[in-house]
Amino acid sequence: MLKKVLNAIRQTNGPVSVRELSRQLDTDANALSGMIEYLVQKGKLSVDDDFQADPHTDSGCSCSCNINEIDCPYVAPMPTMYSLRR
Amino acid sequence: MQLPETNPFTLNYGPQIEAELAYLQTEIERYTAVTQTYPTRWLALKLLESDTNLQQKLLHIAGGPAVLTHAQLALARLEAIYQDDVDTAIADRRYTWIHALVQESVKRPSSDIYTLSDKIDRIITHRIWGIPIFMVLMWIVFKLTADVSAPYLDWVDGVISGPITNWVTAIIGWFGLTGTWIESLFVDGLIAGVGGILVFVPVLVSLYFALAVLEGSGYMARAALVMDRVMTKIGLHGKSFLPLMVGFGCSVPAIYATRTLDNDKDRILTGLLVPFMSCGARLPVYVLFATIFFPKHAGLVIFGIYLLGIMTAMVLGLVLKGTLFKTDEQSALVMELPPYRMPTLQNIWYHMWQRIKSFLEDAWTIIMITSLVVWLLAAIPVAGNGPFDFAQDRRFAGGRFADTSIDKSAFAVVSGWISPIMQPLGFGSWESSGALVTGFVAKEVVVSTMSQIYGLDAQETAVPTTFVEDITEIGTSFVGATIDTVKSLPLIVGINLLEEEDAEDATNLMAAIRADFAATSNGHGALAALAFMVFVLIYTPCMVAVAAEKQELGSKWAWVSVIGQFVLAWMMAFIVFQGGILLGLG
Repeated sequence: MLKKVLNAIRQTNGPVSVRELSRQLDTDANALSGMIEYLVQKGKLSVDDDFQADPHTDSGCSCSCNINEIDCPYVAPMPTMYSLRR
Repeated sequence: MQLPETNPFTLNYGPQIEAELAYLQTEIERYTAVTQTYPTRWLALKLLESDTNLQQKLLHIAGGPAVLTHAQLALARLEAIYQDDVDTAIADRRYTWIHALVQESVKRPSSDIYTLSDKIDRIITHRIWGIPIFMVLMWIVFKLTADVSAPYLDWVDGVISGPITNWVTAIIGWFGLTGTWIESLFVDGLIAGVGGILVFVPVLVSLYFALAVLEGSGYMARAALVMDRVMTKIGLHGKSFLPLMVGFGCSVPAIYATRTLDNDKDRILTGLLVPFMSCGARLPVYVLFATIFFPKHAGLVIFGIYLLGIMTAMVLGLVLKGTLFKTDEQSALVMELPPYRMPTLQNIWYHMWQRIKSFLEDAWTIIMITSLVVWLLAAIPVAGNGPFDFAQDRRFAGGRFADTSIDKSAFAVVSGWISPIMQPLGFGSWESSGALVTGFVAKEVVVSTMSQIYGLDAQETAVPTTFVEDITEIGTSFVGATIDTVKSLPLIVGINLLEEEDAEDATNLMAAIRADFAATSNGHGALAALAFMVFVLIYTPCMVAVAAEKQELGSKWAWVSVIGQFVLAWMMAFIVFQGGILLGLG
């Protein structure tokens, strides 16, 4: 199943949402999220969630620019993105 | 109560893994200390999964190290077969079994498969319709920004240039400083500079309100998905969209966001394209010029400028991707989209306030300092022969400090060195050139500088009023602005309920800009204004963004961005202005 998920991601023509992918694989979206998380842990997928909405941060977003002490309240929260690792 | 004994369930992991499990179980059973501590099959499986915690514990049990050696042999054999981690193969078998079990035993109603969010997504994120829907929504955002906020913009402008200026002048008068450089510092420096940019707070409130609604509803995440497809189509890495989208807010975090791209070529290319996304700081410039020169189509012009930035980035990306930044790598992305939800007032307010607060902080720091520098340069008279002159009398052509004609000031002279370069673009005056130079500090400073230098040339005639009259005027004009805002809402769908504004309603600043652009462009003021907006969109990023480029992309690429964008901006503005004249426009 994990191989099937990886293959489906490889074959996507452009970006795809988790729900769309779950329908393609005929599986539950939550179960697919679990599999994706496992693939991230194993280093098969990389995750970009630096620009996700975080209500607990002062600026309304937690972004990687914080490492340079630059606040970024202008940044719109972005969805979590998973991509294949090379 | 004793439960009936049942056969324990054992998952079959396939012949290869099962063979190694059997081999390991046999080896484990040789060591009683190990079998007394752990169930044999469970231990064999955990060892094949390379459970490091368990490996550590086994080292301290008699026979454990020997079991570990056998486990390493078994793992090596399986890795040779799977060409992958064995634990992934084991997890894969488990997920496959669970999937098959769920397929056999669970029947889900179609409402579970297609939620309301899914149904909306089928239209909103459609491969074809998704892009026009995104464009229409963005157009509404800019229409709202330009048209609906206009009455409040006029109100803030009236308050700053009227009562606030009157009060400051009166306070200075109490100290007997009327007509001194201190009065000039406050009125021509601080109020004209910082106040000139604060006038645009209602515009930014409208923009951030609309964006907060889109973000809160979950649409912006969909916009990322839709536009990501466009990026992929033109050969850019799918992940390039993230920094580009961030760039609409501010170029600096957007340049840092290029770190999400693994490939160096993709990262540098995306970093170079980020400044073409029109950041929020450039919006006051567009609003000011669109209001002066295209009052009936301001929203459309601003939307067009934003679109031009996107198109420029795409064309440039396509060209550079096919030449300097060629890579064979294909991108595949999966996005976790949040469900649609009704944005809450609290959330909208929170995001709006964070952004406005940041803008106001800029106004009191960067913009105020730059305004003071501009004021200082504008206050220094320059003698006819060149050197700065602080003479206390009027023997010199420049006059006295802070009492000089602006076109004889150091600022005018320095800006005048650059203005010939801008002559073919239709805005070759020292005023506009000077404003563009200060824009390198921060883009919103372009407006505050214009407010200062045109303001000095075109001082509004103050009508003496009492404090009570001022307060009453602020209140009544606020009510008037609110009524006009409500009336302007139908403008989004093209219905105009507002009375036609008289040309005389334009402020002296607007009139001064209009006259200056008409003069420098031989009567093609609107074309020159459009060329100016295009120039502001494309030219050299602000100094903080350049510093970010230097850090993230290296000095070479930072210089490419600084010089390349200036040259490209000049060329594009030239095409707009000269091309427009050739086509008989403007």
